Amino acid sequence: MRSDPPSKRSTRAHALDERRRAARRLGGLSRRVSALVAAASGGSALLPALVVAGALGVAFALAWTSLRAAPLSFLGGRSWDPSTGVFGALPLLAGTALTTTVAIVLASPVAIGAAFFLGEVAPRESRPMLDTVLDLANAIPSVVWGLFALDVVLPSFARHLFPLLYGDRAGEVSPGGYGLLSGGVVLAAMIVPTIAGVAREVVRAVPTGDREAAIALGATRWEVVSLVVLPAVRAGLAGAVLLGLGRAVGEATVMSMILGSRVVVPETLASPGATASSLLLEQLADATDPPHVAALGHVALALLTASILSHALARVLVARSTAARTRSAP
Amino acid sequence: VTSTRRARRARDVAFVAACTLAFAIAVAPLLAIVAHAVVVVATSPSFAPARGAAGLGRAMLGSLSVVAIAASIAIPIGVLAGAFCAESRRFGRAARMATDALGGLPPIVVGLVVYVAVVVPMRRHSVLAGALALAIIAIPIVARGTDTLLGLVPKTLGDVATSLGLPRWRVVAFALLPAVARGVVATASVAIGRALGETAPLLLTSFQSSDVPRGPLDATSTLPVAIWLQSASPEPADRARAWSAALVLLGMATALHLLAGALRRRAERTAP
Repeated sequence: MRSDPPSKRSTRAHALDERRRAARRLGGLSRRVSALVAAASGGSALLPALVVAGALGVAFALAWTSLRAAPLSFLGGRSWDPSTGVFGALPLLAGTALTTTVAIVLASPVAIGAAFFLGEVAPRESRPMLDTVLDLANAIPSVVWGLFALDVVLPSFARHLFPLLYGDRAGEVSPGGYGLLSGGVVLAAMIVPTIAGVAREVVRAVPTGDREAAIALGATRWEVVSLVVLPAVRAGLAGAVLLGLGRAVGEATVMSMILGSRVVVPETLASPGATASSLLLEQLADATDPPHVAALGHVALALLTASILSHALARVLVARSTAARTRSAP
Repeated sequence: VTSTRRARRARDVAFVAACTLAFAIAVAPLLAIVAHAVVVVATSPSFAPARGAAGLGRAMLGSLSVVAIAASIAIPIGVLAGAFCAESRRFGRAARMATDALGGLPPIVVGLVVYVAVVVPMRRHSVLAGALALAIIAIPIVARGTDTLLGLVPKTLGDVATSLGLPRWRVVAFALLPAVARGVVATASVAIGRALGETAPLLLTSFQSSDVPRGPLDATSTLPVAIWLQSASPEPADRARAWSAALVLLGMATALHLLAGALRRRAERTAP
């Protein structure tokens, strides 16, 4: 043994070398896996941007001939008639504006009231249960809302509400209760849970210490809300309402079921009509004429742009007023 | 002094009453819809279970296969994208904006894009097209949920893992994500619930079929589309079928939400 130290040293060196090489191999593997995971994660994060760009591209490509021809007369045109190839967007603009205005006016106060109920009024131990009820209301599929509206809401409107508003003309103004006013009311009921769910988080993000300070000064619940909470959540509530607005504008299923699908400029608030979304749902699959497809593409492009912008603004508003909590968290 | 005190109390009572009423109005339609569904299905004399069940079974199978494919696409991509938004210092904010923009697309527009990009070139409605549309709708929900949850993990946890010399992806995958695993599952089940109820994109993509789909390239009927197609029919049998489908949808949505709620509560209780 003594006579052969170099060989021993070399065996040891060899083993060390081997181990080092294995470690390097493993390190290389780990680096490769790291790179792979980073690429997968980055690719996944890139996907939303690609899909949005693709959607804009598709809508733009479809709309191109309509955009190039006459954008202004398209927006102002009072008639939408695939059989003669005349396409004007005024009926859709009117229908969309009327239904969403009715929906927002009716839904915002109710939703914000419900959010204050969940955030400030309801007893603390029953909040998880009440939260779940609101979340379930938010999870009702829109097609079920539409079915309910057809079965219950429209008949009762036709029988009770519209005769009050239009007297004997009720039947011709809104046959069977189909129309924009019914659409707006049903939309309102649909977006109340949406707005309330976001508004609830906004209200809860107000630091408890601020509330306790007001309570210590003897403030009532209304005074806590009006003097402490409301000033802090105004932007967030606006964001919540804006999210509801986005959902209302984009709702195609229910609108195609209960608006009466007539693409005309409505004569009264309760008349049948169409919105941009309901029209896309109803006509896209059957559109073969190039001008018709282009007009639908134009509508989709407008809907898409408006939705993305309003949704982004809403997210910024909501994030700004809920950021306080995440920042103050330990 | 007493009159001011009385006025203050009156205002307080009015506020509490108004809020309570608002909440009651907000959730009243939920109760009305469930009650109406149960009554219609229970009292319909013309509801022939065999025939109805056949149609319902086909639609359920269709819905489940479309949503299963959509979930298997959306959940991994959503979690990875969410992790990127939360962890990338340089591009996190841009990725978050893009995710929000995708979440802002109306479902009908998602349907249009998949219709133009997949259905028209392939000349057929298919399970795959429907699944793609639903995946596009579900990805931003999962991504935003994962992103928010990762933002709530105490920074020290990541620091400890990093100080052990772990590469960044292992810190996220083996230290941060497990800490919020329950929340991620909750978000995923909410996203699945949302996908189950979507109608407009499926009308343009998977549409309907009188057969059970034999592969991902066949059209299929789904629960929401079946409801939509039967909703205009005045026939009581169709109404009963539509409402049974609606009950099934509501049941699934409820189950998924209760699961999500339970997971979230447990996550909050065990939170560090």
